[in-house]
Amino acid sequence: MGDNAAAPDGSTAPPARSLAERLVPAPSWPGALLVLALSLGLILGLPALATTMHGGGYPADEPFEAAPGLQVTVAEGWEYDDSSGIFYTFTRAGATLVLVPAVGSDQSVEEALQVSTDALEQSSYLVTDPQTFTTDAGDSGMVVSGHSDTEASATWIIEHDGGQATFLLTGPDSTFSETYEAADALVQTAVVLEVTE
Amino acid sequence: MSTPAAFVAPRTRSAFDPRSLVFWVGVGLLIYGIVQAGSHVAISLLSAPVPGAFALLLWSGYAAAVLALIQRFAAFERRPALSIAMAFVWGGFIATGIGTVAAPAAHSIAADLVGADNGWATAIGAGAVEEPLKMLGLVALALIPGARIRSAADGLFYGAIIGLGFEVVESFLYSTQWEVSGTSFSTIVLYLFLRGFVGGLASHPTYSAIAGAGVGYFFGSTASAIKRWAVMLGTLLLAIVLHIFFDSPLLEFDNPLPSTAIKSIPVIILALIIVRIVRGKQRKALEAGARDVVPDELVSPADFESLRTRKARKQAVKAMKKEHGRKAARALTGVQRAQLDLLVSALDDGMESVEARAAWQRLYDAQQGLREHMPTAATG
Repeated sequence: MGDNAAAPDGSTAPPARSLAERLVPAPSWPGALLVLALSLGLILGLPALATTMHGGGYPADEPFEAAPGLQVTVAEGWEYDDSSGIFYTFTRAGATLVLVPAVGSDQSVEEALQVSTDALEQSSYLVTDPQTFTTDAGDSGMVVSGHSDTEASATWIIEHDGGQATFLLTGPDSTFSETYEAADALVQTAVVLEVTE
Repeated sequence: MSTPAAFVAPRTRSAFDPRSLVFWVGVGLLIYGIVQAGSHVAISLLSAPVPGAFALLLWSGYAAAVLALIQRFAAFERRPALSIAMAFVWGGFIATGIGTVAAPAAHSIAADLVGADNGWATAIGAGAVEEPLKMLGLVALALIPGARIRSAADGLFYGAIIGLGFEVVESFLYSTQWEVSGTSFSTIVLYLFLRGFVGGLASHPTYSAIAGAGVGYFFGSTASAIKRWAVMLGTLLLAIVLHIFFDSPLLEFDNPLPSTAIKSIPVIILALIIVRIVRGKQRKALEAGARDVVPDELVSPADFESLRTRKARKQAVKAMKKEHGRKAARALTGVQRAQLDLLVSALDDGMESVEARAAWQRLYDAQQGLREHMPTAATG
């Protein structure tokens, strides 16, 4: 309990009140406005800022050759980088999707995927059973994924005319559900134009 | 709890206050959160009902156990179940729902700033957006007077609950990404082990509790505005830094278990220091209440000495049991609980408030019960 200093006329100053106490009789609309504004800033402002900062670098929703002999159709939200001339990557929400053009292979897709599985297991990832899928172009493929406590990874391999194209996604666990979904949609659109021997 | 001199009772007994516009903004955000995050929960349950229900059961059990632990740490004060539920819902659905949009954006921005292939981008993106998002829930609760967030201890408690809600729903969603993880029961259990126990102590409840203590101080203290802002923003910054440190590529080994364990140590130490400071301040406030607000015949300063710590309360009960038997010991536990309730109510709302009068009545009843079991002794 604080002692209130006496004024020269003998009166005392009113006791100091905390914000919590001052809020009791106060109208609630300023607080409501504050919470709404901050929430909208996170829901609308932050994604808008991220979009402004990102260039994209590819024609959204149109088929384009993202890696030699490998065509994909990509929705907005990724950033494409082919500047190295060796690696062809899409990034999104801290995750990176690497596209490896189709090359001829004697291995089956299962055997090729086992390499990824072994690498993930050696890094103590929880690895799922491989699952099969078919692209929109009709090529068959398999996918496997793994999680650590903070990171996640997934590998898709598509088989076409004796060759295999690979898509490798790595990123934070916290946004992996969203990035996996987006990457999976991208892989579905893949069309192998050419197989390198 | 605030200074004993100022008694203003809110119109509701919990944060459930339909006359507050903040409440309705929260309802609107909850609808948004349910559409964003709740739909993922529903899809997880509907697409694989048995493993989905198993995961739900496991994470619900985890939530109940951690909630009981948090309640145990907050033994001085029993807070309304409705307020606790609203805090949990903010963390579980509103924060995760907004997070589905804000977190990827924050990751993109962080990747632009430090490079997409830099491991720090992930850590910065998560910490910089998730901590303010959870803290916003506590600010919203504090803006509803019925929530009675009037001290660092209140903020610490509700911050931990919001963090728990966030962690449980986020972890449930991780462990039920069937298309990624498959529907294996062992994978679900491993997720619980990894996210709930290995990283559990240095996770969302801990970070949010730290930031929450600052929010509670901001709303409950009568210190200068500069000091209150500095404490609130300082604890938020600390929560963000700890979160980033925990998610960072520092001290990463092939096996994530030792890495997680080592990184937990500074987080837990800092959290314990803050808990200790907050509890010390809470004890001082209660001590002042026993001295200046509540009449001595109900809770005297001497009584408070035996209420001061859990150990002191247990010792008093043990001594009672030895001297007057089990029933008297149980009755003394009731007296102690009622005395603490009265102290908290009197400090929060004044001795004339409905809550304080109800606690006063419970204390009277408990003291009567105690007298029945130890007729010759004074009951304090």
